[in-house]
Amino acid sequence: MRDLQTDEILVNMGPQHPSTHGVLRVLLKTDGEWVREAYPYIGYLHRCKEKIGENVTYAQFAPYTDRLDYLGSMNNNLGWALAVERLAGIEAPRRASWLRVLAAELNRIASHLLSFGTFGMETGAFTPFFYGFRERETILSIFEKMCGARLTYHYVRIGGVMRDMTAEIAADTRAFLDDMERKWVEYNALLSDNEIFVRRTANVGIIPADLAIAYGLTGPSLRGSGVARDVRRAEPYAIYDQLDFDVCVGRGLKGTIGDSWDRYWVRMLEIMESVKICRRALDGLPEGPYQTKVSRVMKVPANEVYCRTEAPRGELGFYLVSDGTDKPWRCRIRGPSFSNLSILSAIARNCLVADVVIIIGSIDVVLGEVDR
Amino acid sequence: MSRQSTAWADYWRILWNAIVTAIAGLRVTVKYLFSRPITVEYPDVLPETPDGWRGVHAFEMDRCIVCRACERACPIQCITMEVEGKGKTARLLRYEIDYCICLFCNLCAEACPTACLWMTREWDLACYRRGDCIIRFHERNPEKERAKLWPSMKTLPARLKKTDGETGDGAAAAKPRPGDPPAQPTEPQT
Amino acid sequence: MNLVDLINLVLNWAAGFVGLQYTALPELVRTAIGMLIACGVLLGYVAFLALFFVWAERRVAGRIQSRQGPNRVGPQGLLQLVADGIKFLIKEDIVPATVHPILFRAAPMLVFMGAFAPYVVLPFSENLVVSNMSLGVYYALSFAALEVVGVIMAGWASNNKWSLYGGMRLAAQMMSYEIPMALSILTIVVLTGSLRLGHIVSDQQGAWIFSWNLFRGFPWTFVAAFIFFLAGLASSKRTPFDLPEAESELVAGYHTEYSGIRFVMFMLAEYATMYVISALTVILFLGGWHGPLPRTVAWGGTIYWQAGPVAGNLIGAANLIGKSFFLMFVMLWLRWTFPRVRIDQIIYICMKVLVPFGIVCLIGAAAWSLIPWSVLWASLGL
Repeated sequence: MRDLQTDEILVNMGPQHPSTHGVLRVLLKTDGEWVREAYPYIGYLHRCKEKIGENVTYAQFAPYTDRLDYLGSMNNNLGWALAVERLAGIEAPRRASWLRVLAAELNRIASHLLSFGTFGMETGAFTPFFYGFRERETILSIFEKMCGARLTYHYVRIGGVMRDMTAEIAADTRAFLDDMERKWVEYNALLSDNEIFVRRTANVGIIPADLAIAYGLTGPSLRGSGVARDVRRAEPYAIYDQLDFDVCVGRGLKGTIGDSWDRYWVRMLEIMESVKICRRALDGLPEGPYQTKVSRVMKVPANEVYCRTEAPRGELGFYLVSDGTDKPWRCRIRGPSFSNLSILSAIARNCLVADVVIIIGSIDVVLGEVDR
Repeated sequence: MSRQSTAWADYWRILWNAIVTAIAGLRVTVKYLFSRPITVEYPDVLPETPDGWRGVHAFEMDRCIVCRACERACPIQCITMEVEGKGKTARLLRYEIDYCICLFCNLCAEACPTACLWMTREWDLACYRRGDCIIRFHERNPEKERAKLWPSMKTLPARLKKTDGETGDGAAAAKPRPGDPPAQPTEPQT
Repeated sequence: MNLVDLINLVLNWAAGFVGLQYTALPELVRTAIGMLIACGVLLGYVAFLALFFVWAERRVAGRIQSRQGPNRVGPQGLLQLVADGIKFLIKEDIVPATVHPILFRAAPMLVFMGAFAPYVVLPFSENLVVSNMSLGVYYALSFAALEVVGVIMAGWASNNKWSLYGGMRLAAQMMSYEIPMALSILTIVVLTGSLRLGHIVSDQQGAWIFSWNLFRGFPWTFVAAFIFFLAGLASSKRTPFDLPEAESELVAGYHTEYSGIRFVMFMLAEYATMYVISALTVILFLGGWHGPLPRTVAWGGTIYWQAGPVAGNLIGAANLIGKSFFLMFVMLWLRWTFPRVRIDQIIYICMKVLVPFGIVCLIGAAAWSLIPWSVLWASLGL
């Protein structure tokens, strides 16, 4: 058997593939069913956002930030608004900060629901996807009423938020939060605890904590490896320092710490944490104005800032350099999925082809912020 | 515990878990099998867009003072205006929005000082040619213009109502500007 | 008296109507004509099955997922597959240039043959069976191997690495799962003493549910039923064992390159195999045509009503088809609930769970059948 010559074949996964979370191409070097190496190729969704940022004003760039991680639009807007506010020395009113946190956490739930659904679909369970979208539909209806859009919200503005919240929206949100807790139990019965799902994802794609930190992983992918790093706790922004919430880490409940099930489970736990945060935000919402008056064409004195926020996929960073005009001089976006994806070639070794799909799904990349 | 006995214990544990969790999952799906589906059966039932929806624009040319604030505010330069004359005697010849590239971000409507441009609850923009995506608001009868493009839109006039509870006569106060104290809650128009 | 004889009877009567002498034809010709018509009937049944079950699958999938299934084409969407069938028929026959010309075209036919051939022995009732072979169960099981050959051909001849993956996985899966299928069938055969399907069903005759094989040899046949059903799921490539056509990984696995009518043959083969597995489960374990609908109404020794031959056959067929459809619904339910099992775990389940349990069931049933139960009960005074 030793002189049986086996070839290594190169198999191309994507860019058009049902499971690569967008236009991602992964080149696999396989020996039969065993993947020896995996190389991701990106750039299929590059839209020159950072260059555009140098040619439009600060307020005009906000709709572009919607489309970075299009599933976590509120968080992108929030990151941009905070960055510009720090640069220009503007402060948003208190009510606006609470509304921002509410919107960001609702969006986190929506984003994690989608990731739950698509991860289930990659393992072959088609039903959780529809259940996740059914709950997401409620959130999107709430956002429709809040700001008039379903995916690219442009709700969080420089200096505050776009519109105030009414009692009807608050009631809808509370009803949704109650329903979400009931549905969460069902999701666990259907997918998380299902033995087939656990056998598919536990002990697959184990990322040790030191490797995760070395590759610059952030968000649930990092916390799944047991590292309790959350920007909302480490460098609180908006009102996160006044809210009480837990940082969810993976503990290797079904396999090893840092496997795909742990990353998935961190997201499920974060849905519940976000539900709690939303309730506290609704309960503690103060009265007051919802936006500081900011001139549409504001000239920002020469300065630079790096503002980090916790997007659903990790640490979203905006490095802004201003030069005294109304347009940024340099706008650099640190997309969390870019760093998260970089670990793929280190992890997807000596596993089966089916496992590569699971690993990409558990890291939960969105190509919008990988390619910008 | 020896490796042998943990292997045996694992074997039976996995088997038992498989059966128990399988039944738990089946119970969830059978529950929804006999529940009402949540589908909105388009096109027999049209989705209801709420007040404040950022849809297709509506433009009242008579109120426009040709300040070009909307054109400047747009992040992607999708508004095209053709103006004759300058200053107070400027006349608007053409006003077009290209919906192939419009971001629906509402910056143009927020920039307008006379509230002559706003986003409606209309969302249906499907057409057969790319050129049809450019809506020419300077045509005297924009409803008729759109009706020509989208013959299936029977409820067109109702959905072109202004958002935020305003009526269409335009003489009332303009929409609240950012930074104004929050307005009294208005009754949403049905 | 089987379906072929029935058809010949009908033809005889029809020929007499027209004035011809049907019996004048030699026996061989009459048998051949009868068999051809019988196979036509079966093909029609398979087509109806596919039509109904694709509709049912899509509706059930929709309702499980909180949405409607197809409900626009025809009443409740029942004509959806007719529309799809017409679409498949008028599609361009795309054969990629780099495929193996003969194998690519032959593969769907082999797969369909492997799925359709067991229908010859599947009874609907005592007389509604094309061939009451003495080796019925063995014949039905052996055609799974032909499907394996067809699938490997499809995967390899497509000249597509992803299809090759699907074909290779399926070969391993289907061949492995024939072992637990055979073991669980043998459990029943050992109890009944015959491979003839009609005999196996008539052995389960009885007025109530506990005469079914499922409970007759408790616990051996009870476990064997689940082993057979799971192994059959794997054999018909249904979730949770649908790795060969894993949509989210391989797009469509071994039938990626097929379109139009060639793809329809794969789909028909899948639903045909599903029905074969369900029907075999019903026949072997769930009482066959002795079912919920009674053919004899009796109480305390007096028979109030006994169904005649025609009514009895029809009621029996209704019983069997009803139970098979219920099992097929269970297959749909399982598909839309569970994730997919990875290929090494599929083989693990087969070799380390189903085969040991199957062997234990077989030995248990064999020992059971040796015990002289009547003597035992008599000695205990019962």
